[in-house]
Amino acid sequence: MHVIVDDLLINYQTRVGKNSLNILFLHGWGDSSKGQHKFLDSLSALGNVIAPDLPGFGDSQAMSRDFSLLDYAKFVSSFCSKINLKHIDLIIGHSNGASIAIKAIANHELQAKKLILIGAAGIRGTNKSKNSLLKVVTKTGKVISSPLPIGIKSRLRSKLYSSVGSDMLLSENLQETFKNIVSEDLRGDARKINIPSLLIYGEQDRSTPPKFGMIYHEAIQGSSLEIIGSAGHFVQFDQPEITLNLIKDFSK
Amino acid sequence: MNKLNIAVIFGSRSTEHDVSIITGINSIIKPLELSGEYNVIPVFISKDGNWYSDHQLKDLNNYSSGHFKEFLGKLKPISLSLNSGLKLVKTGLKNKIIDIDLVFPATHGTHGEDGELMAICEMAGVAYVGCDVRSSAVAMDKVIAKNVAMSNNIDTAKFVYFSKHDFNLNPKIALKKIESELKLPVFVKPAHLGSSIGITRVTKYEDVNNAIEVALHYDDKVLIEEAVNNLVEVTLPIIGNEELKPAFLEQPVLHSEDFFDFDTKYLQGGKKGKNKGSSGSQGYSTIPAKLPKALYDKAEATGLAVYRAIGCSGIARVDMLIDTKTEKVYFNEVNPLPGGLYSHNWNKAGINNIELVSRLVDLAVERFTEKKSLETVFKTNYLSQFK
Repeated sequence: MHVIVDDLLINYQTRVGKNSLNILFLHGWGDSSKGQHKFLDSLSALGNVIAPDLPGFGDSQAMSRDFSLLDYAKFVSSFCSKINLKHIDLIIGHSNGASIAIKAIANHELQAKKLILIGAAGIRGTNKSKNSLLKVVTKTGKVISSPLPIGIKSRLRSKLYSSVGSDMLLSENLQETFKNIVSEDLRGDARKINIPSLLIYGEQDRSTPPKFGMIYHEAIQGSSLEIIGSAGHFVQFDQPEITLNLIKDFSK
Repeated sequence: MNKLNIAVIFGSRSTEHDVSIITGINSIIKPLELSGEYNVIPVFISKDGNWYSDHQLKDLNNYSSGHFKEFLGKLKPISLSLNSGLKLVKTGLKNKIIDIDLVFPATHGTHGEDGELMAICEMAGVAYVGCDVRSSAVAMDKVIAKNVAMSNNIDTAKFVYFSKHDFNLNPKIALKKIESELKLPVFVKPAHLGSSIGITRVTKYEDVNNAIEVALHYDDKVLIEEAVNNLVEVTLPIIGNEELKPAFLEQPVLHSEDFFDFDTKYLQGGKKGKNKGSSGSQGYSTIPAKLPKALYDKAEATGLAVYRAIGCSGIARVDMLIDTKTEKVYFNEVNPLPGGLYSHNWNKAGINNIELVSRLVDLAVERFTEKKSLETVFKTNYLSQFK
């Protein structure tokens, strides 16, 4: 389904649930509601599911200016008003979607009864040596590759960023927005969250390691942390039953 | 005899840009070349409106490689000359000029299928395939097309429409009008777009406003029409100028509550839900439509009547909605340039892709020759009075 929010054409998916619980799902960077359709199907066992494609992703139009996390949080708030979503029982955010959820709750852009963060991003400065190395390599690479044709240059760039696990080039037209987002640390925002929160991390997650979960667990008062074995960044795909059962128990 | 130089024009500033590339390359350029009868010149209009012509533009891989921007960056845009026919001008140290004998439009939607491209051909005095300026413009405005059909005693589903300006001036009055005149469910559509882009099926009046906003995001005119009950949707591809040849009535396979959005039509092989097909946009329908003979004949006659009423020539596809209970056939819309020329249907009707494009070229030449015989200059002494 489509709707116009802040002058952007936004695609979203819904699932009609077996009870009246309203669940808002926010996908991660480079992902979309379509990419999570199996997970959304499973969530419908718990309630009505609403999952927008965030601006610039999936079938939603990209914004004409660079966004910060707060801009995304404000956008989600406008989206909920637009579709007349009057109350949210549960927000589930994955990866960068979880960062947006943290920002939105902490800054009163969204109100919900409970919050679930899966592989939440937003902890910065835990891998300073890797980031410094990346900076040096990209700057050197830029100088060395400058005489090369554009096509070869962009292929080399993509290889470099993907080899170090960076999502920056997943959406090439959102590079400045990506830079804004990865420069923001959310520990301060997390401390402002005062609703029951469940943190789920994959034991083998390299993008947002369980260490992030521990940091958030400490920051969010009364939160619970679950680290799932044999699971990576997409815990909901790697361990769907365990994830759904955790969500089910927490949402009661 | 020299081979005709045929310019196949595709792409353009349209929401159906990508569909147009497939139509242009797969359904037109390839069969024209396979016929061995023509010199085929690809002309690509980029999303930002620049025109390019290069033999590499015939290769679909260049569009899907992920490096199309870089590829296009290496090409130099061309310009057009409309003096004494249509010419493509490639500027350089020495300008290269290619004379075009005939244009085969492959553009869908705005800035192409809507008559704009045909107008360029008319101004240049060059033959072109398919509907002319007037019928293209009428067909591409769903509201005007419905009004033309109604004035020819052809039924259409009940509808209301608003310009962007009128709707924004007083949305409340507009929404009240919809509520008082139309029964739910309704379809909200941009008036000028094809390929189901921007269309929403609305089942609650409170959702109509959002659906109109979506339609008006794409267009400056919105059409809201009642859904037809006991629906069977059919479409009829037709070719011809005066003497018409219909292909088979084609029936999309879908549930009554569904409709073919862009994703279903072009990306999922036409199948809703989990069991997606792999046969592309041609995999979703029954050809010929399974209808009682009398109803089949009635729908075919309606399609042909619409084609004539709109003034189509060359090729078009007429979409109709049938209430199987009342056996009433409603005209839905006309596509003056069907995606992929609907060659899958023509193939079943016994016309292969090469024959199809060759016939369309012949029809274009026939219409052009007839039109050339008309007087367009009228001698008068009007200017002499200003001596």
